Amino acid sequence: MTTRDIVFICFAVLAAGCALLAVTTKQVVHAALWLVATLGTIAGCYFVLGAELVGLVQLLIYVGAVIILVIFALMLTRAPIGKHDDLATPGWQRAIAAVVGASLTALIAAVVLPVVTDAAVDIPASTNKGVSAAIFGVWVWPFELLSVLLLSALIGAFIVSQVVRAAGRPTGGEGR
Amino acid sequence: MHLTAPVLLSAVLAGIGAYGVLARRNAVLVLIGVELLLSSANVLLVAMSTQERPYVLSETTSVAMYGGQVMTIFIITLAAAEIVVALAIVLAMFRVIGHIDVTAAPEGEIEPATDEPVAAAASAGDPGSPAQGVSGP
Amino acid sequence: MTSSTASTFAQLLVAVPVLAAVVSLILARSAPGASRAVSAVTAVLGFLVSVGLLVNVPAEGFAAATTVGPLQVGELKVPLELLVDRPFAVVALAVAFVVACIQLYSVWYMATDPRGAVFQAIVSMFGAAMLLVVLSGDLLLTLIGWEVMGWGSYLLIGHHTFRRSARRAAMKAFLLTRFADIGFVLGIVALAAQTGTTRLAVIFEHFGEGAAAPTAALVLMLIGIAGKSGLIPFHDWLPDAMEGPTPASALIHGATMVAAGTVVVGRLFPLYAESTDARLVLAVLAAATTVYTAVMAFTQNDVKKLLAYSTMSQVALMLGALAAAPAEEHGAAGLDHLVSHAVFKALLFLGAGWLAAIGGGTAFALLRGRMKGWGVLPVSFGLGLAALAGIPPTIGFVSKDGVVAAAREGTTTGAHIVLYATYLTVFLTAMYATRAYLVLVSGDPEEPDHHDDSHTPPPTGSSYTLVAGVIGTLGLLSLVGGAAFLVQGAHIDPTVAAVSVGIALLGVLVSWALSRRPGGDPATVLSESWARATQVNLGTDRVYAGFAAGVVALARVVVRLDNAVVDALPRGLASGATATGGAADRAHRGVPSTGLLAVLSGGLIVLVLGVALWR
Repeated sequence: MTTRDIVFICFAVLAAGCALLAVTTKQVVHAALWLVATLGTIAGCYFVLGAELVGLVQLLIYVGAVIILVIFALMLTRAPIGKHDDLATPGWQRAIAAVVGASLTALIAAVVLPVVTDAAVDIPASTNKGVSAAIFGVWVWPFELLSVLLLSALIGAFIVSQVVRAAGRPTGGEGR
Repeated sequence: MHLTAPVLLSAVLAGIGAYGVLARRNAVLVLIGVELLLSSANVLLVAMSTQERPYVLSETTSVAMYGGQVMTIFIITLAAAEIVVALAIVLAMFRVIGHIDVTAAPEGEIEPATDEPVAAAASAGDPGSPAQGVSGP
Repeated sequence: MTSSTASTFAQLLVAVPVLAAVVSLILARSAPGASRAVSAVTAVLGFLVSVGLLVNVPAEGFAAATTVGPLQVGELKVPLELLVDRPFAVVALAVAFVVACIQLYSVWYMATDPRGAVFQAIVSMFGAAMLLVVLSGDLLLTLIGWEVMGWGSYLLIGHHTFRRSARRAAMKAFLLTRFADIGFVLGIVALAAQTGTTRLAVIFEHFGEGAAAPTAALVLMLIGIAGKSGLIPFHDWLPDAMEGPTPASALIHGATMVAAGTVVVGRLFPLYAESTDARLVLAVLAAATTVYTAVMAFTQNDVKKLLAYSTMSQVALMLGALAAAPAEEHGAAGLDHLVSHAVFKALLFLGAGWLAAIGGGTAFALLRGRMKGWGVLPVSFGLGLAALAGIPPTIGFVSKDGVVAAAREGTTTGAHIVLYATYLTVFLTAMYATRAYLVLVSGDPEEPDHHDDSHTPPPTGSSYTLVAGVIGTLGLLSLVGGAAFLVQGAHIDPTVAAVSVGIALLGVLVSWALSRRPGGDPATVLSESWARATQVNLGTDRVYAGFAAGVVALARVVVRLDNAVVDALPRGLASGATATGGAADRAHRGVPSTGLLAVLSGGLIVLVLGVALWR
């Protein structure tokens, strides 16, 4: 048990708790904020694991951009403010969902844990240089491909909204 | 350090994410579950990247791939793309049928060109909040 | 042994009519006159080549000749060579002669026919195919000639495409012979498979060295031969084939298609001589056919139909001779009768064509007494009928005597059957030949109730010279051709000759006596209903139709079984899956959250199963 282990466990417990709150809270906007907390603590986990670049990207893109989008979406769909009891699916569905989630956890743990039980790894001081070199060396073509993907996602999102608009009806949300 | 904790975190996040996808009736909140599932994969990738060895090309040269970390960055980018498109669809759904409740049964064909679904959705309840008229199957 | 001159002539004999057919077919539309001239001239040329072949062919043994070079098909050797010996050179001569006569005759007969040039081109092709069968030294070449003749018969019989009955007759001939050819092809395949080659010389050697006779293959080939030669049970296509123009009938009946069966059996005689069982089958079929068709011939009220039945009867006689002859005879009697039959049957058919031109039809009612006063026609036609009846000294007498002698010398059961059938046939043949002659020269004809444009006007001027020349030559040959057989080595046993001539004369007398009755037609001795039944070959056509209907019904049953039983499982699976899908579709109301739930649960179950199996 090293310091890293202890710090990691702290971050991990925080992340898991925030995640649980994010999926169970009864306030819509709180769910988004708990997600921010979760992703932030996961970024902390990345730092502990020595993946500084990944942690920074996580903070920048996830916590920064994605969460903003989610909150915007909640606002545009007129999310109710305050506690709301009807955010969850019917009870029987939630029961099955709990079983599915627990099974998934058990499955991953059962499959992956035996692989890593005995492994004690050294975390290098910094991997940033190596990761950067790898992205623009070995992985440069997938990287370029991703930029194309982002562009097509942008166009796709634009078209989806345009198609609905062009369908010739006033937007449902505005009409209400 | 040991990798037991990262793996356990990944497994727990996956379970919570799956639960989140299935236990929420607001489409945006469903997407939060999806983000958790993706994060679970990321944690596992980063954890495993600590065990990664350079890829040996020949006896004298080898290349450090950092596959786990690079993949994680790619997945984050993918997640950004995914959330953009998904939210666009959610907004479109909201505009067309007036709510984003995934437990609501579709009433008739979803046909943006006609007004019927709108009229039907209008009577279904407050948009964005859980529909009042919807009951379990 | 191999004479290169003979080989060259053999190659030419096949090549000339093939080229003639191609050239005249190309010219047929643009220059019908030139096309006809090509057909006629090359036919005469072919006859001259066949004379050259006969002169040069070695007296003993074979002369071989290549065609387009050997084929090597895997293990199988296909040399594609021609093979000619003296008896077959004689047959080739007869074929080329008859084809030449028919081509010359067609210049007149088909003069008014708009598709006459095409007709003559097909006749050339037909002749080429028959010569290929005669000269073939390779089973594959035999099959090629055989099948080309089958196709040619379809074209010739159906020449008058505007007549429905002609089209039907052509289709019937084609289907029946094709159906029988299945056996022929299978037999050839069996022979080739056993010996590894289609070369006849090698096959003879293979089975000559004590290998068991390939009875199954020979019997299979007999099926195809029965189809082409109109043996029972394939005996109904020939009478229907009279729908074709008369020269086509003369060609098919005289020297080519119908006789091709005899040629093949004669060529494979060394094999058939080894197999008593195959020869017994042939003997029974031939004996039954020769008697049955002779009876049918007696009652026909159409001269061409009478000749058609007589052809079947005579061809069955040839095959009977081959079935009965002792092995050391080499089947010469059958081939001799083939040659003589080619001459007198071509004469009779060409004469019938002339008669049809005079009377406006081929029914006896139209032709009663029409033959009087046409100079060479009654004399030649009478000689042809005498040859058919086997009256000495005609060509038919000599060759039929050979058949009887062969049957007497044979010691097998088949030989005895053939002998008695031959005696009976000689009697019946004399009866119907006499009847035909008496009807044609006496009495008054009916006028045709309608004018049929498909009949040619009687020959005049130069065409009269041509036709009379052809008919006269054939008549002369019928009278004195027998001498050629005697020169070739045939001999006449006085006792045998006396018996068969006696029987024939008895037939003539009976027929003559019957003609004294009122009406003048010996056939009127038969009851109305019987006479009517024989006009349709005792309803064989209906039997065929019934057989076909049975096969179709059986096929339907098989299809239904296939659908209902064999396909039931996959069909059931498919409909089960569809029903399950439909039920699930109805149960699923399209709610996204339950759908998500189902997908994730299912995915998880698959994942668990996968991990469990992988472990």
